[in-house]
Amino acid sequence: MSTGEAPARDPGLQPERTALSWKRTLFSAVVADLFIWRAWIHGMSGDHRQAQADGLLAVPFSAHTVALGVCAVVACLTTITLVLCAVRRVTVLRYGVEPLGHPTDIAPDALTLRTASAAIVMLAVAAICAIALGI
Amino acid sequence: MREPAWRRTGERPDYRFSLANERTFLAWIRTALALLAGAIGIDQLAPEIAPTVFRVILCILLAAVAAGLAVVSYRRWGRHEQAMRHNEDLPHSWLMMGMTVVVAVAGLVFAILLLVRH
Repeated sequence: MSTGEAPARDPGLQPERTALSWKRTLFSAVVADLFIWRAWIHGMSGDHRQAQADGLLAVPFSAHTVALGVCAVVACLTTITLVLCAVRRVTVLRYGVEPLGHPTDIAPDALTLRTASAAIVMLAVAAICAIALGI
Repeated sequence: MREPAWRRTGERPDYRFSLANERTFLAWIRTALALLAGAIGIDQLAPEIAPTVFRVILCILLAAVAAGLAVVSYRRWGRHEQAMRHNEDLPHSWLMMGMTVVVAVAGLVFAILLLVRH
């Protein structure tokens, strides 16, 4: 490497660390997601026992379980949104700064981070509804 | 949805600073997700930890803090990016102090609940 030339690889591995950071964030989101899905599955199995006890007059799913299902679907959608944000970032980060016109082009756009942040807020709303439905 | 107006002011900072700022944002997002998983996890897995209403209020509070933290982490990222563009000091924020208090109080409350229950 001659002096004054951009290094082929960032010795601090900044893009790699940032990509890994996105992946860790996804794993954390999936954990929160699974708990909301668990609440729904619990509601369904409760309904199933109730339906067996009631026999022919049984209602297949209570309104309560349907509401938990809505929470679970919202949680799933927020996780998909987060995956899309992560994919968008990781596809840029994986090649490092080399193929970009200028190294600063690797910086995230505000929209991606705003979307990720909004997805977490929606996930929290779904979680609050799921917790409130547990009373 | 276009980029915020401040993105056209000042100079683009060293990409390593931008990436460090992005990782800090993600670390706060993970903190929010951990609070969220904790809130719904306690509600699901430890229904005996406190009387129902008290438990639900505690868990909803934790989840609400998580939602607030997600919003604050984005705004904090924006302010840091702005400061770096203008070569200024990073702005002071009460977030560290606030989250320290929240986590300490939450830890204390759950420790007391566990002690009382067993």
